[in-house]
Amino acid sequence: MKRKLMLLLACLFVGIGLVTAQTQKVTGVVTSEEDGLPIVGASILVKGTTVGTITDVDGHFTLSNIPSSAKTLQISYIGMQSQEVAIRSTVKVVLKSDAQMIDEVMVVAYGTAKKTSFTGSASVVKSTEVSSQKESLVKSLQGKVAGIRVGGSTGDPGSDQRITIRGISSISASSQPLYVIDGVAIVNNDVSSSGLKSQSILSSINPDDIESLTVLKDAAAASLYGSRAANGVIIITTKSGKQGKSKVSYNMETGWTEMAVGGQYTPMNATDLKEYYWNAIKNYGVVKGGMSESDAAQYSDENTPSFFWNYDSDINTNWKKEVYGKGFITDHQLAISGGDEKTKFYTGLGYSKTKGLVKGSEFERYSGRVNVDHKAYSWLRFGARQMLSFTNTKGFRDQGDQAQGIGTSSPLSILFSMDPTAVNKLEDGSYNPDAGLNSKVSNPNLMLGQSTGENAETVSSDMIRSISNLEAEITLPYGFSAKTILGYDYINNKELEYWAPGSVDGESLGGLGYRTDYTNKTLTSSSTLNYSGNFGVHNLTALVGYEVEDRNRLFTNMSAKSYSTDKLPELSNGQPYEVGSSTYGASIMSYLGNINYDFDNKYYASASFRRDGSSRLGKNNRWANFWSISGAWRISAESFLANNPLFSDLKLRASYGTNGNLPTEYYANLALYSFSGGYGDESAIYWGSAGNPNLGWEKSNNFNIGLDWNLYDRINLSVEYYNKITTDLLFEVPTSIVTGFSTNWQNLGKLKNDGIELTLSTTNVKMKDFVWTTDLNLTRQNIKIKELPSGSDVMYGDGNMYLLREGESMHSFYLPKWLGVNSQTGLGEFYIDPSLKSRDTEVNGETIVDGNVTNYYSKAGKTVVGKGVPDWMGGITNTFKYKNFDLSFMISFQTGASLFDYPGYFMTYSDGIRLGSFSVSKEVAGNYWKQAGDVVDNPKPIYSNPYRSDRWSSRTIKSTDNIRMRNITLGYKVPVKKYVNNLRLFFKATNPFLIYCATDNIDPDVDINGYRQVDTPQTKSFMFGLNFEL
Amino acid sequence: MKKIYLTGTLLASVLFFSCSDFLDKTPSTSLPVEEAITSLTDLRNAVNGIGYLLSQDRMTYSADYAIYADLKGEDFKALSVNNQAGPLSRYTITKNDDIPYDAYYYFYKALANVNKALSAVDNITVATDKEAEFNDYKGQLYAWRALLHFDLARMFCNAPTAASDVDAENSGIVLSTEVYDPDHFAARSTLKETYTQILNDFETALPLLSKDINNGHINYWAGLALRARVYLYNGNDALALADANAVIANTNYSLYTLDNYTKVWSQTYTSESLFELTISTTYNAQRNSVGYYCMSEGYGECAFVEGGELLTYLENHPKDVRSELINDEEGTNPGKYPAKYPGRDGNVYVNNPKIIRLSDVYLIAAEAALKTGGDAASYINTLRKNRIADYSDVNTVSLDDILFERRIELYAENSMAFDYWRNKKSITNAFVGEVAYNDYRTILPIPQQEIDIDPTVLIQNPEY
Repeated sequence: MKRKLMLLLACLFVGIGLVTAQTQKVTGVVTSEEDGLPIVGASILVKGTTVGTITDVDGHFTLSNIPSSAKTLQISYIGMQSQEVAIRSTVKVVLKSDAQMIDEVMVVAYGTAKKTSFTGSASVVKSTEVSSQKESLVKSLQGKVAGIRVGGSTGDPGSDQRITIRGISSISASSQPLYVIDGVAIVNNDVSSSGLKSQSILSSINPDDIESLTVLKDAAAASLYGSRAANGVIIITTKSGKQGKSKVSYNMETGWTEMAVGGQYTPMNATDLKEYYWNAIKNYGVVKGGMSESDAAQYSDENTPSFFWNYDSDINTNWKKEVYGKGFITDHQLAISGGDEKTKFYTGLGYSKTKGLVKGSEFERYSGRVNVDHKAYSWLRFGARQMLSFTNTKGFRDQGDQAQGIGTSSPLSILFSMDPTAVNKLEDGSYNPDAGLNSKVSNPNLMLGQSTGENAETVSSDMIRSISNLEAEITLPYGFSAKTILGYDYINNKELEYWAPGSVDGESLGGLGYRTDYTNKTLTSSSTLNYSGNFGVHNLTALVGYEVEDRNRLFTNMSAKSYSTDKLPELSNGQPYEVGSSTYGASIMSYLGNINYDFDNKYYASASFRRDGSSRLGKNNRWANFWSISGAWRISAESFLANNPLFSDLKLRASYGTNGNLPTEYYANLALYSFSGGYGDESAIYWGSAGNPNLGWEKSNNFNIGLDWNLYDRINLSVEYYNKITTDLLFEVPTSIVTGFSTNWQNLGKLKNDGIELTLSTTNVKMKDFVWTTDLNLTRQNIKIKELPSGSDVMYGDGNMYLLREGESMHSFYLPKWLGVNSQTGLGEFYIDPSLKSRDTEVNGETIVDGNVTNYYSKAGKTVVGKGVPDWMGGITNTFKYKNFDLSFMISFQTGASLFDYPGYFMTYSDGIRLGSFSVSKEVAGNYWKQAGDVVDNPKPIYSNPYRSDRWSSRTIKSTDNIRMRNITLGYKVPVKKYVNNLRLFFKATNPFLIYCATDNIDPDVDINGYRQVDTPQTKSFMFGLNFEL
Repeated sequence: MKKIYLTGTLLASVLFFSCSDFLDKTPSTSLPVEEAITSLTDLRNAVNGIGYLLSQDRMTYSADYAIYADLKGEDFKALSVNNQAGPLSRYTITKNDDIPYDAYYYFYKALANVNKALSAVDNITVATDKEAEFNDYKGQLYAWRALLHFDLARMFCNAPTAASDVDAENSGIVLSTEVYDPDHFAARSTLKETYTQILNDFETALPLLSKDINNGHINYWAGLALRARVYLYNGNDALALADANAVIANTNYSLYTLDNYTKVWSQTYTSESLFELTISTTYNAQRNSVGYYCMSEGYGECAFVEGGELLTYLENHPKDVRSELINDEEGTNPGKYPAKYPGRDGNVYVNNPKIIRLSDVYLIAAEAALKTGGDAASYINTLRKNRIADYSDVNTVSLDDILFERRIELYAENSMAFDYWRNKKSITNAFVGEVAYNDYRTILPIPQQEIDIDPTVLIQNPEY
C-alpha cells in the first residue's frame, strides 16, 4: 500500500504546473464488485494532473476543471485494485477487491517486494487461512505450504507444536524458524515456562489479528535475517486499517472436540485382562518358579485374583470414558478498522477458550490489538502497533520434554492403571477410591480436574504478553528514505503447580505448592536507510541497516510444603520450602545490507549481506558474515513468449547463500562454577559447565532453484529444488562422564537437506455461479547426516534410541530388530547381530541354525529400524463456490516416516512386566501366545519377565504413512443487503478422520522426531460459526 | 531541517547501542571457573560441593546406593513394582538402565569436581594461621577421591579378595585423578591399579586431615576407618586391623548402647558416626531418598524378606535391641521395613546416611583379627554387650558368625552382599535365588552410553 501512496504523491508533485486553460467536467459513481455497495472516500485523480477528489457517502463524485488534454481517470481505494477509465461525462466504476493484490506484493525481510520481482523462495499464507485455527497460528500451516512440516506433541489445549521448514538443519541447536512480527523478531523457542507442561508461547498471538504470513525458505529470502535464519523465517504482518468506510466485523465459532483417533488407548475389557493376568502368573510359575504347567495353573488360580478389585464378578467398567471425554471450543472476535488519508487504524478484540478432552485441561486467551498509522507530513509517517494478550492454561504435568517415564498421575497412566473389575461408583453413589490396579491410583474422577481436594495435582499458568512496536519513516530526497523500528516484547508467565497433601506426588511432602514467575523482556531496535530508483529500464532498490536485540530474563521460584489443608492451594497455606531467582541475558548486534536490481522487469539480480555478533558464542568466534546472491529471469517478458496465453507468466529463479543458527543455551560457551548449591546449612559450589570458548555459529549453505509458471491466468505452478548443507553443527557431543560432563557443545559435523517442492493452484471451473479451485503442494525431502566427529556414530535421545550415522537420515531409530514371536516357544525373538540379516550363523564353515537369534533383549544388537522424518508429504485443498454456498476440504498426506510408540511400551508390548501397575491395550487381547502353534504378534506374558522383550525394538516402531482429512468447511452467505456487508454461517470440521493410515489405532501426527508421547493425543473438532461484517 | 534532525536522531540511536561490551553477558548464578576458587571460603564451599553432588540424585549415598548391597543381598527385597531401586532387588538391570548410568554419572561427576577443586588450591594464598584449615580441605578432597573410587569399584568391579586376577586388563575402573578436557576418554585400569590409587589417595589425605570432629565431613578418623575397610576388601588384613584399632582407641567415638540404639536413627552426628553426609530439607534426593524406599507408603522397595535368616533372627531375639528396628507397616505395600531411616523434622527424605560408623570398624577389626589369627571374639563381645541385654561373652567366633553379625548390625546400610561376595560366599536373593561371588550379576554393567563413545577403548563387564 505504501508504494501506491508514494506513487500517488509522486503523481501529485509531477503534476504541478501542468494546468491548461480548457476544462471539462465529469460525474460518476464508484461501487464495489464484491457487494455492489457504493465506496465512500475513493480517490479520483485525473491522470497526469493534480486534479482530483474523493467520493461522497453515496459513492458519487463530481470533477470539474479537468484539462481537456486529459484522457484518463485513475480511481483508487485502499483494499481495492486501482482502475483507469477513459474520461466521459458520466462514468460508472466498479472496483475489484485487491485480494489478488496480496499475492502480488508480499511482505519480505525488511520491507515488501513485488512477487514478480522476487528472486527468493517464499510462500504466503493469507489471513483467512491463518485465522481458521484459533489456538495458534502454527496449526494453520499444516498441509498448506510446501516444505513445512507441523509436529504434534500433546493434544492438550495451549501446548506447543514444533514445525520444520525444509527439513531439519540442526542436530542439537534449535530447528525452529525465526518468527518476525511487523518487522521485529519475537521470542518463540525460548523457555518462558517451567517445562512442567508443554506451553506454546506463540499461542499468545491471536491468529485473527494476522493479515498475512510469509514463509521465507531459501537464502535469498532469509539471509537478511542472517544469524537466525537457518531454519527459515516466518514473517507475520498484523492487520491495518484501510482508508474509507469503517469496517466492523464480528466472528464467532463454537463446537466440540474429541480424541482424533478414537480407537487408540483402549484397555482390555475385564474378561480379557483377567485372562491375560492369569496367563502371566501361570507363565511366571513355569518360567521362574520351575513349576509344571498344571501346578502353575493352580498357582495362578490362587494368586491372580489378588491383583483385582473383584476378580470373580462380571463387572466390566469402561474407564476410558471416565478419563477422556469431549472438549469444547468457543471463540469470539471483534474487529473495527478504518481510516482516512492521514490516519488509519485497526483494533481487534478476541476471546478464545478451549476445554481439553481431559477434565481440568483448559486454554483461555483474551487478546487485544491496536494498530495505528499516521502520516504526519507528506514525508513523515508514524506507526504504532500494540498487542496485549492474557493466556491462561490449566492442566497437569506432561512429557513434553520426551524424558523417560510416565507420571503416575498423568491421564494416560491413570487410564491404564484402572482395574476394569472395579466399579466406578460405590453403592452410596460416591466414586470408588480403590479402583486402581496400582494402589497409588484411586479413581480418575477423584484425581483429574481437581484443583483442590485430596487428590488434586494441577499445573496452571497465567501469561501476559505485550508486543509493542513503534516505527517512523522519513522520505528523503533522491529516492532515499529512512526507517526505524523499535520493538519491545514483554512476556510474564506465572505458573502454579499444586500437589495436594494426599495426592500421589504430594504425599511424601505433605503437599507441595510451587510458583514460578518468568519475565522475558526483549528490546529490538532496527534502522534502515532505503533507496529506490528508476533509470529507464533499470530499477534499483537498496538498503543498509543496523539492528540490535537485547534480551533479559528473570526467573523466580518459590515453593511450600506441608500444607495445612488440601482446599487452599496458595503457598501461604503451607510451610516455606525453597526459593530461588536467576537472570539470563543474550544479545545480538547486526549490520545488514541488500541490493536489488532489475532490468526492464525481465532480468533480476539481488544480493544481501549481514554481519552478526552474539553473546551466546565464544569470544573467539562471536562474529560471522552471512550473505546471499540470487537472480531471476522472467522468460514470459521476452518477446518470443509475449502474448502467449500458455505462458501468461514464466519465471526462472536461483539463489545461493548462507544462514546461521545459535545455541539455545545462553552461556554454552562459558566454563562455569555454579554457586547455587548447598550442603546442610552451608554453601556449596560445583563445576557447572565445561564451556567452549571457540563455540561459533552453525552455518548453512543454501542453494535454491525454482520455476514459476502461470498458464492461461488459471493455473499457477511452482517447482523448486533446494539443497541446504549445514556445517559446523552446534552439537552436544557426548563426552565421557569421567570428564565431569556427559556432553559438550562443539561445532562439528555436516548435515544435508535437499528436496523438491511443488505448488500448484488451479481454477478448474469458473462460471457465474460456480467456482472450483484446487491448491496442491507436494514435498519430497531428504535429511542426511554427511559428516560426524571422527566419522563415528553418535547415539542420543531417551535410552540412546536415536542414531546419527554418516549417510543415514536424521532421526533414525536405532534399536534391536524384532523378529516376532516363535510359534513354538511363545517367546519374542531378536537378532543378536542384525547386520547378518539371517537367523543362522556360521562358525568354521558350519551353519548353526538360529545361532543369530536370542530371546533376551539384553543380548540383542541394535540396527537402524526406521526414521522419524517423512520422504513425501503434502496437502491438497479443494474449494467450491456455488451461489451463496462455499465448501472446502483439505487433505494431507505423508509417507516414509515412522513413529516410536512410547505409550505402547507401557500399554501394549509389556509382556507381563507391568502386572500390578498397568492393564494392557485391547489390541493384545487374543493376540498373545498361549500354546504351541499360535501365530501371534505378542509373546506369552510372564510376570517379572526375565527376557525383557517389552523393551524398545523395531516392534515399538510403527509406520505413520497416512492420508488424512484435515479440514472440511461448509459455508453459506446469507443474502442480506441492507446494513450488513457480509453475513456467513459455517460448519467446520478439523481432523475429522483418517482416510488411510498404515498403523491402526495410532494417531500418526507426532512430534517432528517421530516420538509418540504419553500425553493426551490430538483432537478432532466440529465447529459452528458465523462471520458478520457491518 | 526537521528531516535532518530526525535522521540525526536515528543515527544517534544506532550509535547508542554500539557500545563494545554489549555482547558480553554473564550468568547470575555462576562464575567463570578461573574466578570461582580464590579464597579459603571458596575452597570450603567446593568441598561442600562434593557432598552436595552426592546427596541429591539417584544412586547417591542418600538414595538408592544406601541400600544397594542390601537389595542385591538376601535380607531385603522390593515389594512394589515401582521399578526405582527394585531392579537391584530383582536382578533385572541391563546396561541400558538408569541405575548403572546414574551411579556412574554422579560418582564420576563428583570425582571431576574433586580434581577441579584440587587444581585450584595452589592459587589460594593462605595465611600461616590458616594453614591447618587449608590442609584439612585438601585432605578432605583426597579422601573423597579415595572413597569415590572405592565405591565405584565396589559397584563395577569385583573385590580384589574375590577377583580371579587383580592384574587382568579392564578388571578395575577408569581412574579420575586430574582435570580432563572434554575429549578425554580413557580405558579401565586393572583392579590392582584401582586399589593402589585408592590407597595412595588415603596416604596423601590422612596427614592433611584434621583430627577434630567435623560433622558432615571426613576427618582423620573417618579417613582411617574408610581405609581399614578398603584394606579388608584388598586382603590387607593386618593393615586393616591396625587402622581399625587406631579408630577404636580414639575416645571421641563410642558405640551406641542398649539405651540409645533405637533413638540414634532420627538424630544427627551421633556417637558412632565417623562420617555421615548432611542431608537437609532443602538438599535431599526427594522420592529417591533412602527413607522413601523403606516405607510402605513410599516406593516400598526395601522390606525385610519374610522368613529370611535375618528377620527370623531378629524376631526370635527380643533381647537384641536391633530387633526393635522393624516397622510392620500396612498401606500400599504392606510389609516389614527397616526403621533406620525415619526422617527428621517430619520429612522422610531427610536422613543422614552413615557412610562409616564405629560398629562397622569393630566388625572390620574382628574380621581382620580372625584372618590374621588375632582375638576376633573380643570385638564381637564388646559390640554385642551394647546390643543384647544379658549377653554373655563367647570365646571364639567364626567368619560366618562375623558376617552374620554384620548383617544384624548393618542391615539397610549397604553392606550385606559386598561382605559375602568378597569372602567368596554366595547369597540367596529373594527373586533369583543363589548368586555366587563370581556370578556376573554381582557387579553392575558399565553404562552403554559411556561405552558407545568408543567401544574399542572402554570394555564392558563380562556377560552384559
